[in-house]
Amino acid sequence: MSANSTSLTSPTPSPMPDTGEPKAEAASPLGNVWRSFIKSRSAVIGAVIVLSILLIAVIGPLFLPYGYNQVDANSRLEAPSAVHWFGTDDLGRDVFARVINGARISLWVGFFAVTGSIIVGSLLGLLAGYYGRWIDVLISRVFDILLAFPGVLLAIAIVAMLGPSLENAMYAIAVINVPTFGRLMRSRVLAIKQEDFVLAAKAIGMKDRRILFKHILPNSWTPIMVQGTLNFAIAVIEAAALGFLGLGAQPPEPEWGKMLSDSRQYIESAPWTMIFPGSAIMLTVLGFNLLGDGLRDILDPRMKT
Amino acid sequence: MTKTLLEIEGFKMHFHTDKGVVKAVDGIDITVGEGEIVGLVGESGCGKSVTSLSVMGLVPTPPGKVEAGRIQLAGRNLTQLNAKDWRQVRGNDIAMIFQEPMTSLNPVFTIGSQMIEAIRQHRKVGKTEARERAEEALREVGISRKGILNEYPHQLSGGMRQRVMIAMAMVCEPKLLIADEPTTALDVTIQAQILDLMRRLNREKGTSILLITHDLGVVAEMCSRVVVMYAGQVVEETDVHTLFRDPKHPYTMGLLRSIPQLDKRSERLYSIPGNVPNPRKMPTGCRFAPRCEHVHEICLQSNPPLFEIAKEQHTSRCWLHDGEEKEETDRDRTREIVGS
Repeated sequence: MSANSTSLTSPTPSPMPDTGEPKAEAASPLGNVWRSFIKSRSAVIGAVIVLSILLIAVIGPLFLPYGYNQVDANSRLEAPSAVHWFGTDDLGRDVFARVINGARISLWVGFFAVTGSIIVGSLLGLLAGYYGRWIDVLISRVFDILLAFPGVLLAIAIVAMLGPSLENAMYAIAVINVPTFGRLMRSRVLAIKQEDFVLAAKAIGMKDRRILFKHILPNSWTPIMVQGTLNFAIAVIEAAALGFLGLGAQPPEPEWGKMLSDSRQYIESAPWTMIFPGSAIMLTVLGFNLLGDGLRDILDPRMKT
Repeated sequence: MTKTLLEIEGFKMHFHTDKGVVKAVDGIDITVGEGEIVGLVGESGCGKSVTSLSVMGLVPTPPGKVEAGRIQLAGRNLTQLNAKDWRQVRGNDIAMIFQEPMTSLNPVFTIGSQMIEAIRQHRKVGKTEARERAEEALREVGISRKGILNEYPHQLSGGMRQRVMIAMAMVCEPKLLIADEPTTALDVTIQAQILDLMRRLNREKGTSILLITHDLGVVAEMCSRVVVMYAGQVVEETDVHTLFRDPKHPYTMGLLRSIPQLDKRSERLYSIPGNVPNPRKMPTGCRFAPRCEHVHEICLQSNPPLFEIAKEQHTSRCWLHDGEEKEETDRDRTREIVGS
């Protein structure tokens, strides 16, 4: 687009008015995001589910009449009732108490695994995208290698090396999710480092490191946040899968995946021991997926006018 | 003539790519005096932007490589600076404004935070003082609206953003301002305002301006001297009046003929036939020869040097002027002496 001035005469002397256009209604981008957030049904439903689970996980255990590991040999495999809302398991433990406590574990694992992979992945992606050349080749090949394994298989291998425990399962899940964020960040950086404002920042004499963290990183957060929310759901499933295989949480921790595998023999006689932890996993994953999808729609720059 | 501020001498910037060497800038001489506005004109791909980025030290190396020549700012050789010294020069001694005001500001920060950052990059001042300076700089460019520092770039129009960019560039009072097509993306009325503003800053602050453009109208309004570039080389250099009254190089003549004239009726707008040569396969002779109306035998065989036209400070890279004045320019001769 060129606006070739064709006239060679001197310009009309203009008094250079303050071309103040009417102020946009929203003073901050955050305000805009909030407005489109409450309009998006899936984001709101997702957020409600996630916040409820979070609330239950934080304060729920304080109001429970039973401990999650309180064994009662007299009431084994009891059906749901007013006394035991979700019934009891083979050791007479209250399933409701265990499911509620399990929320803590799942959210904990999800949060740390996702945060860990975001931090490591973003840093690696930032370096690969900005500096390019051999740094990019090295980091990208490591991502390719990690992605060549099926995720859970790699997690199993890592846990097998470190030894089965909830903490190690968390590390394993963090590691297998690193490439997702790394590649995402790399692609964002590749796009953003071409932007004029990065050149302009260089032109005022800014250091590379400052440009990376002050100009490129803040412009790359949006997709990372969306991906992080979606990966939270994946991390919850992976934690449950490792727990189910006996590689994650160890008894008597009330981990949902572990509870599922413990209740396999009672699938016909006492299905509640399986239905409730299973539903809890499903609901958590659903909540994070809805929230993530909603955020993606809201934060998609193409949706903005 | 005024004191020289920027001196580009025999500067060559080549890009080494997989497909061959691209000679984007191939031996140019440009000087900008103190307080002078020099226009750098040429069509897309002639090396204007690479020249300006070279002066800022912003050409990525590799693939870019300085093959020869030097760039001096107030007697200091810029081509030998290390990364740290370069950062001191950028923004402080030389500032730059870009073509696209819509994308030259970071969308996620307020105008204020970006301006304060620019000030504190080179001046050891507190946030409050930086803020005051930013407000003052914005007043200088004609923005006095309260609260603009708390606004985001998307809330401003293109003209306003370009003013913010100029304010940001001028905030450390650089000696040289490089304006890379500063008005190309703006509409004509805003264009006039921005040019007016740049002229005023030049007059009041004495900032030299290297104005890069393909718009001869802008050149006529702004510049005292003009350098015409073609295919990585300077083809003509003269003062602005001579350029429009008595252009010497066929390329410049072609450029001037392609400006639509309001007072003359013409059938069809003139355009120079052909295209810019492929920078990987430059013609052996004169680089403009394949498109030139006056092409001779010699033009296809060897590239002409810059000939000095009878008048002082007017040079043209064309064999046509070989007859008028047998001698090459002083500058070319000096270099030969220095080189031998």
